[in-house]
Amino acid sequence: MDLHFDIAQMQLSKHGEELCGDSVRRVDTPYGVIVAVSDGLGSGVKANILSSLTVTLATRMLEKGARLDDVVEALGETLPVCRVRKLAYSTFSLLLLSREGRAYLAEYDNPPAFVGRGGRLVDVPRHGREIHGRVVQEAVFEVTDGSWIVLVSDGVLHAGIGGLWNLGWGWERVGAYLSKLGATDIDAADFVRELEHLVQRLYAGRPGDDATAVVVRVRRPRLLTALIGPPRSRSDDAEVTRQLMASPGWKVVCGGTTGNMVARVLGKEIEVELDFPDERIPPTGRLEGVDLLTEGTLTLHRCLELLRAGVRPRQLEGRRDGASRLASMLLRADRLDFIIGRAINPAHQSPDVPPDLAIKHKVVEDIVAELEARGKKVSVKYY
Amino acid sequence: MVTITVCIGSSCFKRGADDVVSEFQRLITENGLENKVVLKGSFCMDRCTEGTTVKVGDTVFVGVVARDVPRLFRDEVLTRLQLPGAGRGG
Repeated sequence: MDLHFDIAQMQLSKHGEELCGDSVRRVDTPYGVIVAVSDGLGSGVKANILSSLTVTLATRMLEKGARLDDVVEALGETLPVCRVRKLAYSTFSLLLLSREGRAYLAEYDNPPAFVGRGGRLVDVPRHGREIHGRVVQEAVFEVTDGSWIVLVSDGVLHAGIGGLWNLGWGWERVGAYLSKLGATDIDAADFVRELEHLVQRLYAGRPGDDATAVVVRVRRPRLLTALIGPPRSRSDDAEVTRQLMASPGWKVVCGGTTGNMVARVLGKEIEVELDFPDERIPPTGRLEGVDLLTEGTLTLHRCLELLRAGVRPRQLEGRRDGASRLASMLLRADRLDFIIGRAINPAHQSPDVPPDLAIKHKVVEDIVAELEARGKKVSVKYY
Repeated sequence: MVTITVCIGSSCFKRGADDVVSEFQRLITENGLENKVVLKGSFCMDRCTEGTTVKVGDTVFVGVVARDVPRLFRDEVLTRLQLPGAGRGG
């Protein structure tokens, strides 16, 4: 199966500067992903212009299939020359990953990227090559489930300079720290946040340089299929249930009537939990073969609130209510298939029923939008 | 053995099914009937507009609120168990 790249970044600006002089650009391609990090000469606006030009030009050209040599030549011809330093200069790290697990790395004057798998660093030999007067370090290697790559600007390595450590904490210490994070199963966003907190602390909250890091975690994609609402036509009950149960990965059912329908088709019994970990929403149920079974509207509504508040899976650990468990699974999944039944519960349209029960489909659409905004691949089918 | 099923689906929940559940739980414990009464939940009993829906054995009651529970417990549950305690449910 194809690999999934879970990618997150952090950027700190040099103390007193509004703009970070480093730039990051990530482009998804039909074959995988391209990530570029650049550190512009100086700091502030000028550095920002140099570095953003570099990452934009490089990723656009590589995306179109250009060779590194062409990219380097184009950069030399395009970057404005600094009046003070008489130099057109910005560093770069370019990483190309294919979903089959091939990796290509080109580095120019940036600290070497950290490559690891699980809790260990992996040695990736570089070969220097002169291209239009610049020596670029290139490497070709393989990545697989559990691999991780961290691209950094030198501001990360220099953290702590003159303070905790005379020369900053340095490549080796950073590598050892990243290996500890690599050994855990936290996702890229939490991984890079840990690193950011540490760099902030080492700089005592006043970074002496722009600092940037991009974390790429490689893994098998986590798949999730969610069945929400019974189909409009009863004759589709068996088909949607079959699709759910035949899907690889996590299986989620949202909705009381939907749960009852699945149980009926499968000839199984639902067991409803009778404690209320969150008094705002109904409890969850259990159904053999289904990873999560929740009530519908109220749970989905609360789940959307959690997503909108920017909740992270780590904050949801240990929470037992349906909305938290649903949000946690949605956030941890990489590819999600929603099967949405459009049967209208006549009872929910009655004037006797609180109005928030009637707007389930809008809530589901908003949840899908939240997940897509996080870079997840989401498909939606209606029945 | 008597089985009580409380619907905790969207509509019944909004109408206070959680309070109905805790009231039944309280009465079961107070009467020491943990081995004679089974309290279960259901996601939907198809009576959404009339909720909260409660089933004692096979008999369905709709529109139940927490303050109805002691009477229901006395008249339906204790009676079915043929306990002399019928009448002390509340």
